[in-house]
Amino acid sequence: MNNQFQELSMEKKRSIMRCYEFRRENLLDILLDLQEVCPGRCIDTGTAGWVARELGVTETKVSEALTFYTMLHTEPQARFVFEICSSTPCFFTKAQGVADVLSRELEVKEEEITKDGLFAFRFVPCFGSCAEGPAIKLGDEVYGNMTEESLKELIERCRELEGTEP
Amino acid sequence: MNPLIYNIGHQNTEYRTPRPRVLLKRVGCYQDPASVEEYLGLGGFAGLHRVTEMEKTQALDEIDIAMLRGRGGAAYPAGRKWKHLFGMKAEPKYIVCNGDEGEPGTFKDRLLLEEDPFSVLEGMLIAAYIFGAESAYIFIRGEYRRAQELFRRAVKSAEEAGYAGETILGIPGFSCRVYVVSGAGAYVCGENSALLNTIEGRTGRPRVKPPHLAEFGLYLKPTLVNNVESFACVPAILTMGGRAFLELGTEDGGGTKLVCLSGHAKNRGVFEAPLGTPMREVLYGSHYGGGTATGRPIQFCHFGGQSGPIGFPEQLDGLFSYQDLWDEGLAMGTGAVVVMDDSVDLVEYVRQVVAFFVHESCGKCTPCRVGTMRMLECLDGGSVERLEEIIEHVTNLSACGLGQTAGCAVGCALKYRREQFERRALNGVSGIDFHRS
Repeated sequence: MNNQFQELSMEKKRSIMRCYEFRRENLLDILLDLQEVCPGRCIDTGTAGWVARELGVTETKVSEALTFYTMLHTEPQARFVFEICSSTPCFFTKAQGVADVLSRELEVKEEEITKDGLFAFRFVPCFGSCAEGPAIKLGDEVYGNMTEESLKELIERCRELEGTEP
Repeated sequence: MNPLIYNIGHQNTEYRTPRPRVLLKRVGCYQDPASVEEYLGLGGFAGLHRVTEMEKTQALDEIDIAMLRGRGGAAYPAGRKWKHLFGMKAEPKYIVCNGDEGEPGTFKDRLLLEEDPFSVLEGMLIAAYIFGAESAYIFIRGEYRRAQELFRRAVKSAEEAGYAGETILGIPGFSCRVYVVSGAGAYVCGENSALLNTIEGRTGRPRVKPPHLAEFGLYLKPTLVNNVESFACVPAILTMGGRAFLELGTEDGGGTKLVCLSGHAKNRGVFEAPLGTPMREVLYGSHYGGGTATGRPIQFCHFGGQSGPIGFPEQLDGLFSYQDLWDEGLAMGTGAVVVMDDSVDLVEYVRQVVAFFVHESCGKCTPCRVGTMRMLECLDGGSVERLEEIIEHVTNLSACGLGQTAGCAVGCALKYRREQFERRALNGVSGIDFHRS
């Protein structure tokens, strides 16, 4: 079972590389896509080393990218990470309220992962949804004009998704 | 619970924008914005056809006459930039489109990329034709994965129809491959040289300038870097002519400008305003911002993103044009206008702005890395004089635009509302509760 998973995962990884024609210019695309399919939605040292070899760059280069960019992670992430925009258009349209609701509902502080490993939330800088503040991002999806009600609904929706493919 | 993504106010723009639209005219008209057939059906690629029928220098003159200023924030005249690059002898030349759009409060590029990607692509291909570039890159921020995917499909669709890739329009020697490159969440990558480093597979920290990117750009070759909206303006200029484009706007800047209204504006979203529209109309007009959602008075507007200046009501009587804003010590920047009503604490607002820069400073140069943090510390309980001193240091000593503009908003606030800061400072640290409860 474990081997099968690893093989599947490796095949997925290879197809991502092929998709970008092994171009160094797409290092960040590759890392972002890999992160999506890797367990824990993070890039571990093994994967980082593999990327470096495949692209013909040093491991230091890959490691530097992983630590420089906020969208890349080296530590395991919660299954659902709510990213709350903290830039001024959202912050002053009650982004803090969003954090308060999440903190209360999930019983965690910012950056903490819930005991079941499902949820976490954090503040991030602007992701360009300023017309819908307060906005949150969940993976590649953006949800705007968040209210306590819509947040609770979203959390429920996530719980229902639990157990399905990432 | 609806994912917003595709509707960020522009649906309403159609009836809100009173005058003819240039940049948004095709937005909302597509079934599939990545279909080249639909783009052609909507009059697309007329600019590209036009440029291949004229002398290259003539095309450059049109862009010069149009007085198109860079829409990414720096407002540098595109005609001058293009002519400068045209004079460069080294080969190959590269075309790069800056789609980082990291400035908080800005979301116009996303609209163009997701709703009319071909207008941007056409602008890039016109540049490729003029400069004989065989590779063009568009860097799109990591947060816009959807826009990246859509743009890739658009490029593929254009390639299949002979509008990109090999022998474009059947013209021998006119070949250009277009690559989409993602960022991964770093504001500083919007700085052009940092952006080029990222494309090269390096970490996105800015380079020391000079040399200028027109001379030593991508892979140290002459490179044109323009913003998404700037590229989208180019086909319009060539189709309508430079003079007509200029006349849409004002002498110091032609055309229309996408305005991103956010914060407490009643109508939030992307609007297309002819340059020279009265500022008050943009803020209060029913076709634009419509005042505040709460009906409370506007306390201030933050222009052009976090790096831009803050304007107070007494400064907002002029026109929404480059020169009028400059005359008031303000700037157009990216076209972002964050409207804040009088419920907001100004000092707390600028603290949030400075906190953003602390987070986004790349760490390469000391004045910015340390200075931004010192600014934040001052706002959390230091003297106003000390704050001013640090702003001066960070602004003048930082190596790139990030640090040089990190103190802009707080500087404006200090200049016009100094008493608010002094009151806070007098109360001492304990009187200032910035920390999130």
